[in-house]
Formats: sequence, C-alpha cells, structure tokens
Amino acid sequence: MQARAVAILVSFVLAVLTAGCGSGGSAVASPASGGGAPPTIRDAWVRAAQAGGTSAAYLSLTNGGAAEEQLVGVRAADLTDTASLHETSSDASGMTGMSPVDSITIPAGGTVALAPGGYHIMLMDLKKELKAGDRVTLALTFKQAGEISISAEVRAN
Amino acid sequence: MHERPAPAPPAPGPAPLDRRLVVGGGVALAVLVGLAAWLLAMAFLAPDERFVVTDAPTLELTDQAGQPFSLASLRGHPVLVFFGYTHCPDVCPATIGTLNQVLADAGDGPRAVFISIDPDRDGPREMASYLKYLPTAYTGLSGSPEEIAANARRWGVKYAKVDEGSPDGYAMAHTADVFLVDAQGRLRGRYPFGTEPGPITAAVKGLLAETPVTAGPIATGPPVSTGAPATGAPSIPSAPTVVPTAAPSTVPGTSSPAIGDLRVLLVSSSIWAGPQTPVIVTLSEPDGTPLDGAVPVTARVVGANETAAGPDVPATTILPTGASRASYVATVRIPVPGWWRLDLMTPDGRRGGVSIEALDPGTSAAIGAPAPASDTPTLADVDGQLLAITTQEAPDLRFYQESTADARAAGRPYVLVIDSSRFRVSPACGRALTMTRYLIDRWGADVAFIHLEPFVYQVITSAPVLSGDIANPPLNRWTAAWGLGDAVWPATDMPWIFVVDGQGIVRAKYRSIVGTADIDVMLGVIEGQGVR
Repeated sequence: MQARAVAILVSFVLAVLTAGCGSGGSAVASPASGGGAPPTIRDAWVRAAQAGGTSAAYLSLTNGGAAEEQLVGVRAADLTDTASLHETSSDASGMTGMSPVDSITIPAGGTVALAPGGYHIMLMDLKKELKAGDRVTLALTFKQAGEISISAEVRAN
Repeated sequence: MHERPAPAPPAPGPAPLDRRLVVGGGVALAVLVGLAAWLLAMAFLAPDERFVVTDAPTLELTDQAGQPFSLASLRGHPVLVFFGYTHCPDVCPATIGTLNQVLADAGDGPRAVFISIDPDRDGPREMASYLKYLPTAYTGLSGSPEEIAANARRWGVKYAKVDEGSPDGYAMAHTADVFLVDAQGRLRGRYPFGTEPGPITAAVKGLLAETPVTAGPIATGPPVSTGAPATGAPSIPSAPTVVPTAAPSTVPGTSSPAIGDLRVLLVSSSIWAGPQTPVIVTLSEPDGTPLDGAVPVTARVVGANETAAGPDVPATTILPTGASRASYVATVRIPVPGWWRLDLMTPDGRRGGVSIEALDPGTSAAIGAPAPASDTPTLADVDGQLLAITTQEAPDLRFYQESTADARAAGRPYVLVIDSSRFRVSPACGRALTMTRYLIDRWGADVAFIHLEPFVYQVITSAPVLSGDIANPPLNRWTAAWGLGDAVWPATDMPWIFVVDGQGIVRAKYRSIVGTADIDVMLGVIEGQGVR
C-alpha cells in the first residue's frame, strides 16, 4: 500500500513538473472511470502532417496501480477512422519496419513510453491537416480503466 | 564469422554486411570489432588509410519538380541521403527530425536527399507536397519500381511491403540508415536509424571544414574542385558503425555494374552454395526497357579468371500476377560459398552479369531434396490454445490451420515460416511473419502458409516462457528436423523460410531478412502461374 502511495506521489510530482514545462508539455489526463488506479498519461503529442497523409501520436503511460494494465485501443475520430497501435523495430541490417500490436502492456508501477522508433499510435488517411500548435483529442481504451480522453499538442517533431 | 572464398569481387553495396552481422548473433561483436579496428587505425595508420573512402553509389531518379536528378548535381555540398516513404508515420519523420537538427546546427551548405522506396504511392507530386513541410535543403526523389529497385540496390538498401490489413493500407519496411556523402561525392559515413543528431552534425561540420561550401543555390554544374587532395577522413569525429563495402563504380543510370550490354537486377535475397539454388533476376536493355520474356535467356555462374562453375542453364521466365515486369529464374549450381558472378545471355549474343553471394547452407534442408518428414503443430492439435503454438501478439489464424504433413498429403505447396515474435534472438525476428502475411493474401488459396515457433517454451500463467537460455535457445524437434541449429547457422540465427512444392521438394529457402518479391516469384514458378 505504501509503495502504491509513493507511486501516486511520484506521478503527481511528475505531473506538476510536466505542467510547468510550458509549450512542450501537455495536460495530464484524469481518469474517467474504472476500478483501481487508472494510468497517468503524459507528454502526448502528434506529429504535424498534411491532410490525407499519415501521422503518429506519442505519449507516456504510467501505471500507478498494483495490477498490470493494458492499452488495447485508440480512437481519434476527428482525425481519422483508422487509428491503431504499432511498434517500430529494426534489424541488424538497418532494415526498419512496423507491425500492428493488439495491446501495449504497462506493468504495475511501470511506465511505458510511446516514442519515435518504438511504440506509437498510427493515424492514417488524415481527415485534415495537422498544424504545429493545434490541439487534438485522442481517446485511449485501457483494459481495466476503460476509455480515457486526452488532449495532445501537434508538433513539427 | 564465416570465411568465404572470393571467386569474384564483392558486389553492389553493403548487402554482405547484414548477412555477416547477423551470423551467430554477432552484431555487438561486429560493432566492437569494427570500433576497435577503427581506433587502431586512428592510432597507427597514415591518414590515407584510416578510412576506406569510396565514391558514393549513383542516384539517378526524378526530383519533386519532375526533373531528372543525379546525385552528382550536389557536388560541392555534403549530402545526407536516406530512403523512406511519405506515408511513413514514425521512422521517416523521426529521421527527418534528426536531420533537421543537423541542418540547423551545421549551418548553410549541407543538403539532404529523401528517396521514396514506395513507387506505387509516391511520385514527384507527393514528394513536392511532403517537402512543403521541410527546409529547402531537401530534395525528394521518386521513380518507377524498377528505377527505385536499381538505385536502392546500389546503396545496399532493402525494402518490402508490409500488410496493414487493408488493400491500400500497407506500410513499408526499409533500411533506415542515413548516408553521408562529401562534397566530392564520396561516401563518408553511415548512421543507423536512431543515431542522435550530435555525431552526424559533428561529421558534417568536419566535411564542411575540409571543403568550404559556397552558400546559395544548389550547384548544378560540374563537380566543384576543392583544390585539396583526398586525404581520407581524418576529421570525421565519430566512427560510423558500419562502413559499407565499396559499391562497384557504375555508369550513371545503370542498374548494376556494367557487365555486357544487358542490365541485370538481382531479386533473390538468399542464394545458396550447393547442387542447386534458384537465382531470380530481372533484365532490361541499356535504355531501361525491360526484357519482356519473349527472348530465351541462359545463365552461367562464373568464378575467378572467368571460369564457368558449371554448364549453362536455361532461365525460366515468369510474370507473376500483378507484377509489372518479367523475372528470370535460373536454377544454378554454385560449388562453394562466396562471391560469384551470374551471367545472363541471349541467343543473339547479348550478355549481362551481376555479382552474387552464395551462402553456406550448413545442414539446413537442401534445395532440390525432399523436405524433412516432420510435422508441425496446428490449432487443432492444441485444442485452440494458440499460445501453445505461437507467440505472436495478434496471431494470424491462417498460419495454424494446416500442418506440413497435411499440405504434403494434399499435394499442396507450402511456405514454412520459422520465426518467433516473442523470443527475439535476432532483431529480424517477427519480421518474416509480418512479411509473409502479405503473401497469404496473394497466394493463400493455393499455397499453405505455416508458422512454426523455433524454440521450446512453456506457457506459464498465460505467458510464454523459454525453456532455456535466450543466448543458446533450445530448438524444438520440428525446427531441428529442418537442419537448423548447426555450427554454420546456430539456433540464434532466425528467422527462416522454406518454400516447398506440391511434390514435397524444397524449392527455396531464406534466412534473416526476406523480401516478398522473390518468394512471390518462386510461388509463381511452383504454381505455374505467369510462367512463359
């Protein structure tokens, strides 16, 4: 119980730090519902791209709870009908590609980063241009916590 | 590492490097050895010998304005060259982010060239649209599938379509290294995906210091003379992890070393020493017109001193459904592993050649011989407990319907994919499965696609747990039956793909990185589809 309290405290401190970061930071999502401690979502951003193009969203997920949590789905209805979880990986020859993943597991007390070159949320066939500075809404579905909506900043890179 | 005789000089691009690096999981070792060698060279060798500087391969494509582009037009500027595609959501933008930082920090002078390896979707218009978001130092190149293949091959760049579950929704897997070319058009560095801007910026600044660049419009004239003799690359502060093998110098616009008067493009990704191995090529006239398959072609393997390694063999011509040009498949004998030249000849005396590297087959199931009489487990065998037979996160059930024995009994050809998504003994693991899914969509009705996990594992509380050490993983009996896990190709050398025909004969096999194009052609040969 004490460990969990510490984890929550750490999340809170990080959240405050992030909130103080200015332009680079983004709001920390609050849980909508669900049992246990819902994951904390930080530093969500989406790469600028043209209408009809492809973009990706990145964020970090911290599971302050005592049980494993999984990110199992994502929606970005304003942007695309096809938002999906992907993982980029490289081989020894430098050949790099990505594969869809069903879920991303966040271990109890752990943090998983969706970052360039690794896990990401792929946004295909964009309905509109994403300009740096815009804000967009992403709805993340977790196995335990259910759906959590967050606001993400559009950045050039 | 494998000692291989070299009957013919090394061939295009850095392709051999990936094969050697993956062998025995020796990546880290190779990097360490390379770094050590570089440090030694820095300490003891004369400047000229510190770094093997070779001319960069040529780039002959179309720019974003629809005009012909040659890399030579950027002489006088350091150039950062990378390959990608405009629908790329993650890797290419990340690389561009890095290069933008490099360009911002290095000042005026450097240029960047982005080549699309997605010719089906990217043309000059798409490149122009994409470049609107990028600094003016960028040029965006596109071309026909043949042109892209030829240019990518010269740079040792590989790419393949990856199924994303919808007809147009494919992604591309591709070599994502950044190449650094100096103002004299020489290849001076190669940086793997994920390299931070710092080392690249430092290298670019080093090049700028050795060759002052005139700021302003992109030079389009003849090569700028720097007055300074070539002195190796003493000022490059960071050692690229991989220094490419010298690509043979090529006549601009040709797709392969100019041997004879036919242009040859190699399609095969694994070629094997032994009594028989299929080698797939495409052929075109010097002006780029593809040979349509009407002309009969014979093939000959040539070693050192122009000695033929065996008799001339006729090549089969095939035009797979949906393919834009004919491929030629020659089944040849290659006596020992190493570099050879494959010559292709027409009855009217025209000839073309391409360097090929034959791999040591070790004890892996031989091409031309009956496939091992081993079964593979199916979904029915494990009562639907998928985790018992696959560690894929989102298993494609089409891989688990039929066993190798079922396919053999039914006289159906099959593609056996030995790969693990979970136990990644090599960074290529999981990739063969992803690639093959694309082929199931094309061939699934006529050909069985079978996935086999290579290792012994247990399922403990819904998680697969390897029954042993990942550094020396235990092969299961089905995988061992295919002759893998020997001294040449240890258990850590994954993935593998075997292609077996309806008579149960092994017709092709691939290790590590696999392109979809050559398997596609082999299935066409086996199925008799598109054979001329």
